[in-house]
Amino acid sequence: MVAELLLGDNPFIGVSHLAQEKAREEIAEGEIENKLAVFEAAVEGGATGFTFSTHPRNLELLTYLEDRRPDLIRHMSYYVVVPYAEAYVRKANMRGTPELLRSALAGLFSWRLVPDVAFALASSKFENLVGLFIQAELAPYLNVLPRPNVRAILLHEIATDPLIAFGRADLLSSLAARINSALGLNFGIHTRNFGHTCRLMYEWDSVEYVMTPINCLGHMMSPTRAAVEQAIHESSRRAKIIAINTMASGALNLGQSIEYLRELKHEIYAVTSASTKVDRIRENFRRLAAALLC
Amino acid sequence: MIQVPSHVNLVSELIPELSHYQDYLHPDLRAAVVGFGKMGVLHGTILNLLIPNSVAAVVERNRILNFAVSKLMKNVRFYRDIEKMLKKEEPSVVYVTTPAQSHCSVVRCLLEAGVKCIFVEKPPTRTSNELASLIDAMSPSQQVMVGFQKRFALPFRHARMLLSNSVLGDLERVSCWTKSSDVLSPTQRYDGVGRGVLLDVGVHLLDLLVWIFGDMRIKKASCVSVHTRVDDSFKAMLASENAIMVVFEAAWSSAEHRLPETVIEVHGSNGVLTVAEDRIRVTLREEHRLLGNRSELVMYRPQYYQDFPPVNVADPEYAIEDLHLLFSIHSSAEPLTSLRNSAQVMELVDGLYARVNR
Repeated sequence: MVAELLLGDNPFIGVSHLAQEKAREEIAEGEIENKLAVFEAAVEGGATGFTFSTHPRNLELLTYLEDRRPDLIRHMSYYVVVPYAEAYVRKANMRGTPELLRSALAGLFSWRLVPDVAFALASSKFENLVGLFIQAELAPYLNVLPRPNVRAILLHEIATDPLIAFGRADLLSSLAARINSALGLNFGIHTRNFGHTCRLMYEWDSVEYVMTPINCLGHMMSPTRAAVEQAIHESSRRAKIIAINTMASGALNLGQSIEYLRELKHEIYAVTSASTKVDRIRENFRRLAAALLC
Repeated sequence: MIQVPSHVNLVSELIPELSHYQDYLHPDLRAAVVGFGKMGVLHGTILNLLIPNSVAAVVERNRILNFAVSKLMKNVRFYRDIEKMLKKEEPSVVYVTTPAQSHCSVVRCLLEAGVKCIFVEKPPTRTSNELASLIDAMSPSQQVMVGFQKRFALPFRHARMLLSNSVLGDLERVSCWTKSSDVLSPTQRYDGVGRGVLLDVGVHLLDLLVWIFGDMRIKKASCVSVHTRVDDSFKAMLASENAIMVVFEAAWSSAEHRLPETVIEVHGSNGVLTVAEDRIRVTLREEHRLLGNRSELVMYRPQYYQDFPPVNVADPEYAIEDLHLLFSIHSSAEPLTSLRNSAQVMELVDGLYARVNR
């Protein structure tokens, strides 16, 4: 049953899966006052949460909200996607992957007590190091957000899909335990390959959330829409499914999107919507709430 | 809202070799990846999602990276030495995803060891002479595919199909650019390669130009260095075999380009076509059957990629590229972006660098 309607952050940080030219147009509308207005309109329309990646612009927005509209920031629940992949891809392009790894380790040492990192490095449980890395990336955001409202930490596909592909689905369970014990938060995954990843679900049964594209075109649903639908049927009792890219990056209108989501609404936990337009986001959430929350 | 056309026939037409891709997913494929940075992880992930456990071995010389990744990945053996890996693993295909300056020596080593099928990331070599030496070293039964993945992005395939059917009438001029924000501050990373943006992202655009319009002659060329000791931006004026003027630009310090973007705009007697990785836009003076008897066509990624590709990691063209390699292995066919088919573009790269060094 759909329990949450989530505001997505893509237009806030210059991401469009439709076309880069659209992303550049949207970023031009990315003044913080406009983002605040979108946030307000989303809440008015029925949004109950915000899902975002750890992009510096989101930290800026959340800090601004905490300062200007603490009522708004307390109203929402939060689903945080880590790491912010683009930043690491760019660093790898610029300096090479070995240097990226070295600088990430150096960053950890400066963030945390040396013994913590040294222990994680020396232990055979390498996931402890990954856990520390995630904690370091989350730290400034968790300082701003009301902790009880943070529902889940979701591992970005840039990490999830290689781990699944290389047989480390078990590591996801370890990470879930680590995030739970260190931060008291739930853990989930973000993937565009849910039809593939689901086959290993028995190994990651402590993963509580799955964020994945769901739309009637089968866009970004791998291997196929039918396989992802089957994965949703098989997993929805064990994990909470968060539907993203429900309008296929803008190729579908909201009516087409809702028509399809209705068929799955008993198996989906949350649905996202995003826009830089105040009136559009309010209307989107009103219609999503009317169609899916009843 | 975008008009959503039925895409199945179009996709089959654009990539006919992949209509039955399941036939090429042989469970006994044994792959090795040499160089496990960003591109090695990308291709390894795609392969393992297409064919579970197909990546048997990884060669990574960097000790820290080798150690870190070997702790994270299961069912894969890690090596620091290519010869040792080849001797123990006998892979049926090897991916070369090391830094560009080592491509030639690594591919040569693999060819000499008798590896039947090799994939090498772009650029295949630093120079056309190096490329020619690799072609000479190949035996007839060996296949080498180059990672010019833009040829597997469906909007570019669509553009090529429309242009080859003379949808624009007589071609008049082309302007094109590729831009990224990869280098926004000083770096020495490219000192070892000795060549910059033209060989890095520019080579994709040159490859597309040669693929779509044929051989190119150089009219003018200039480059600028800002953050590196190599070319950070490169501009050129080219002419196609049919004397169509092509204005070319490659730049990797464009802060507004969050992701690399490659755009080609073609003007013809009957209209204009603009194509990028994620879109195509055609405006004609008359209706055309290939535009569904309309005079305008606008398509974006979601209209091309539906229920396809079967793996989504980074951009869809990477999975299609890997499927094309599997098709080439299965059918013993020369890959579309083979070493031989890359010779023309590498000669163009050499020519452009020679022109600015005059």
